[in-house]
Amino acid sequence: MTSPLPTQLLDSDLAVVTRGLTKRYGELTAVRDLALQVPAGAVYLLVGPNGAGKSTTIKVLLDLVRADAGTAEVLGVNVRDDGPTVRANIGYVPERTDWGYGWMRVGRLLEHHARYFPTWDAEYAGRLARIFELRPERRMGKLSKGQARRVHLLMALAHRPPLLVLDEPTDGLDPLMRDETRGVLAEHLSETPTTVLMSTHHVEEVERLADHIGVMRGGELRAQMTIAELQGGLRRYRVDVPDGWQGVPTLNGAVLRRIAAAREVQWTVWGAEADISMQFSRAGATVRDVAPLSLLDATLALLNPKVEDRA
Amino acid sequence: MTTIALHPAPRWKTVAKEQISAVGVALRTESILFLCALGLIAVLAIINAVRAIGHVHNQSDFGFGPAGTIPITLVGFVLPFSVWRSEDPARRSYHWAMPAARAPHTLTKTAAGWLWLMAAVVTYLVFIVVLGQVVAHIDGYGGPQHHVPAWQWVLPFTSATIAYLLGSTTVIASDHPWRWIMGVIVAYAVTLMVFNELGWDGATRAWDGIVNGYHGLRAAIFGDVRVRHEGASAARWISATAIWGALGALMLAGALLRRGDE
Repeated sequence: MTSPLPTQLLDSDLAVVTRGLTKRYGELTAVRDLALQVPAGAVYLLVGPNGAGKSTTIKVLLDLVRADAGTAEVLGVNVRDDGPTVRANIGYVPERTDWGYGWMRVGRLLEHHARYFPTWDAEYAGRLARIFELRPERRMGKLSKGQARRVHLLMALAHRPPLLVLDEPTDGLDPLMRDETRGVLAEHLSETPTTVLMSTHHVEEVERLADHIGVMRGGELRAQMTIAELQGGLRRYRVDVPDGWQGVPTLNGAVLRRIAAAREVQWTVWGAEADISMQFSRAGATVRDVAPLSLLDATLALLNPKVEDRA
Repeated sequence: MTTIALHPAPRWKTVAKEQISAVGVALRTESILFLCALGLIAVLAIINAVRAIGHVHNQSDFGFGPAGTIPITLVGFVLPFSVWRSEDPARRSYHWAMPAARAPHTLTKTAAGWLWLMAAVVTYLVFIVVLGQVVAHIDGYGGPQHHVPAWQWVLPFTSATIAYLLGSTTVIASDHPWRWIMGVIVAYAVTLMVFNELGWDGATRAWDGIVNGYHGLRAAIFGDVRVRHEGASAARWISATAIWGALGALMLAGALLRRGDE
């Protein structure tokens, strides 16, 4: 027998926790019965295709959007009860790059932002401004997507919040600046005790930073686990199959991807390796090779809309 | 979970001071235009006064009167569009993402804009009075401010405030404020025409009274610009101002409490 994909973390020390969170926009249910668990101190990667409900979830956590059902707690505070305190403790990079006042100069916007965050570290902000090559005299509305994104990153980091909520933080950045940003984030995490909840399509870029992953699709959380669990439990099996082979019925539900080429079939399967291999053997197939997946490949497998067969 | 020391939200005094400052920056261009307009008026008034020297029947007649309320009322109505520039509700997420309660935060920004409006009214009145004195000195004519009742000096403050409340309500509540404004004006005019065409005199009078009645918007905004013909009354102005001011405040409160999602 195979085990289902985990959606609960055993960690009890949670920085972010939602219970039964549901958000509807008219007929559309953007988020359905979500039970997100972000452990304190974790770098939690929230992945999913466009429209999966990631940004809506993030907005609920900041009390920018009110859920229709369920609760959300950030750092032990119910977001609906005390939104200002929640937001004072979150460094937020939104998905959109026209965030902030387009008519304001970068330097003035940073001053404005600093006054709202009593813990603003001016020296750190200055250092980040140099790293990100920000020009304070430029108007926000005149910045490119990448330049605006760097301003947003500075605004999120410089008050050294206990929680960073980053919605596509490297979107719009050139490769060099993406690399720089990764370095800045890594340095920030080493200097400041921070929990990170990050939504990104560029999974490969944050592979070394992330330690937890949540997979959303169609507004639902399909899986939630540590990266170690993911890489330990998800394997690619290269299998030789005989003519007229009927498959392995007992694997249904655990198969995330199947690619067939002649008699060789590649299966991406969730479960204990020994158990899966034994089931293949019992069904008459020969397991030729078992390999772990990169985070990107594992994510792609988890995001596969057809869980069973793709051949 | 592990207890961590939460960062505090900013104090309201800090937020208020910052909003006054930030709104001031937002209104910089409009302030320059306003001062340029005053400068142009001054130049024209002085030229007119100089040309009037020696012409007994052609004095420039410059000074503050009830009609002088009109421009500052218009300023009050359009100012919210600058205060909330590029921040219609669908794009207000930066304002909402700040660590401050949403409705009081929006009210703080609105109040900051109102303070700048009041500064503009003071500037405008001082300008009118000073320019009136200068013009009077040039052409030797006293100007109408000598005949203005004391309560009419308060009128620009209240009318600009009512206009600002109504303008702020539409800007805060709607992604398309001009559509609402034009829609309301057109709906009002069409309804009045229909009532009139149907010969419904009572309904026509009542409907017309919203604007032109004893407590109508016109009495609140302009005191009564036809003062010299009909006789203005401080009591009428006070009651109309109270009604329209309360209505504007109620509408603004509704807009503030309307919680739209980003």
